This record gives sequence, structure tokens and C-alpha cells, in this order.
Amino acid sequence: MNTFKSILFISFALLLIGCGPTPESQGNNNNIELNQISTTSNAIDQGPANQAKEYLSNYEEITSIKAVNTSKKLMIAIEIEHHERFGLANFREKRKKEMKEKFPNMEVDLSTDKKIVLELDRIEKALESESVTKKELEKALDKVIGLSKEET
Amino acid sequence: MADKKKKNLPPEAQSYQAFQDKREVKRPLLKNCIKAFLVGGFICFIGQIITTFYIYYFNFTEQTAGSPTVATLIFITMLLTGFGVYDRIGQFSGAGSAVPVTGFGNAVISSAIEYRTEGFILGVGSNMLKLAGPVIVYGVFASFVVALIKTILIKWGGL
Repeated sequence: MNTFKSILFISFALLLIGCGPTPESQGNNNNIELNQISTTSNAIDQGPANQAKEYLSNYEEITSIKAVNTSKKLMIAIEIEHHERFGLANFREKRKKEMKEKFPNMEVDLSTDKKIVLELDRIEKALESESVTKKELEKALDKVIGLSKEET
Repeated sequence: MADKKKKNLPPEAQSYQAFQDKREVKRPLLKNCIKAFLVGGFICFIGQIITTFYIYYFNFTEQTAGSPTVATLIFITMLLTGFGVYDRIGQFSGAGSAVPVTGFGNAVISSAIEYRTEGFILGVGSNMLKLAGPVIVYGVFASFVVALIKTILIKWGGL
């Protein structure tokens, strides 16, 4: 019975530690994975995407940011530190709201899904190597946005 | 045996009960818990590998990769149950192999295999969910109760 009680106590303690609120810290995040897309001769100017990356990189919790935009749409995907994932939904909603306020003229969407991170990374690389036209970019981004909206 | 019933026993039976309680082999509770934890965790780890595989190589997001992962895990369980491997895993790890979705799959599949001799309709069809039926019933009922509580809290509790 004693072992059972101790197991119960330990698991409860772990639960309490895990579910504690984590303060959102803002500061300079040095080990973040983001690369600004050069905006020289790309199909579509990636200024908004770069601005979004710049802004989000101030959050310490974020470990990598991918963002791509067309003339009307901006899609951002972020990854956050693993222990911060307890408050993932909350964090995502707050950042999404911020981004929508920052870019009122665009359709902004923010995702924390690994798949969206991978897909946006692929598009970013294609933009970097300038092997994508405006039409292809719009089509690819629409596909990613559609993917992020899927629920089942 | 329930304590209420023990009080109504004749004195001989009560003394035997006391005698037996002293000599009974204690269940290795902590060891069982650790085994269940490790094996259950390992099954979930395999599930996570499958999910990641689907995310990287197919058009599934974290949100949608759950269904094919569950299907794949149940398919693997079906093979392991058929070859008689899963019951050995169950013997070793107890709840560790019963709690994840593979345990549920095993309960359905093993009943289906067992009653195959009685035919497909009255054998497999009617006995397949004998063990899994209660899980579905109480799962649905519990989720209904939780949803009801949540709805009440949101509507009138101001959550």
C-alpha cells in the first residue's frame, strides 16, 4: 500500500510541475532558426514574411519560424520549446491575434503544426533558389493553407 | 472478497482467511507499475514514429495523422494477436498493453479469432464486441457526462 501511495504522490507532484503556468518572456533569442528571404528578384516581395519573422523572433519560447507570403496571404509556422507545449494552444492564439493586428490588410494564418513548418520550409528554399514563379507560389501557399485548415 | 461478506463468514472460515492472508504471495505492485509504464510508453513511442512517418512522407498534418496512425497500430496488433505474440506481451506488461489503442484492438481481434469456429454471423459478428462493448458503452457515456458538465460550466458558470 505504501508503494502505491508513493507512486500516487510522485505522479501527482509531476502533474503539478508539468501544468504550472509558464511566464511568456520577451527578449533577444539568439539560437532561433530563421532565415530572412532575400527580397531582390523574387516572384513576390517577401517583406511581410520577413517582418513577421523579425517580430516573432523576440519571443524566447520560439525555436524556429517559417513564413511565406503572397500579395494577399501570409502563412506563418512556428515551433516552440518542448516544455512550453503545455500552453501551446493559448500561445498560438495570442501570437495569431498579434499577427492579424500587425498585418490588417492581409489574410494571416499562424500554425504550430510540424507539417506546415516542413511545407513552408520547402517553399522558402524554392524562393531562395528562385525556381518558383508567382503563380506557382500562390498555388503552393494555397495548398499549405488548405492543409492547415484540415481537421480530420 | 468484499469486507462485508467476510464478516458474515463462520469463525473457521475467518481464521482460515487470516491464515491465508499471512501466507499469500504479495503482488509486486511497483514492479508491475514500472513494467506497464515502460511497455505502454514503448507502444506509444512506436505510435509516435508512425505519426512522424506519415507527416514527413504523406499529406498529413499533426491534426490529421492520428487516424492513419491508429489504423496502422491496430493492423500491427492484428498480426501480433494472430501469431500469438500479443498475449505474451500482455502477460508481461499487464495494463501497459491494455490501455493504449492496441489493447482495445487486441480485445476485439482475439474474440473474433476465438469465435471463428461458430461461423461469421453468429460467431464472429455477435461475439466480437463482447469484451470491447463495455469500453465503448462507458466511453461514450463518460464523454457525454463530461460534455454535459462542460456545457453547463460554459453556459452558466461563466468559464
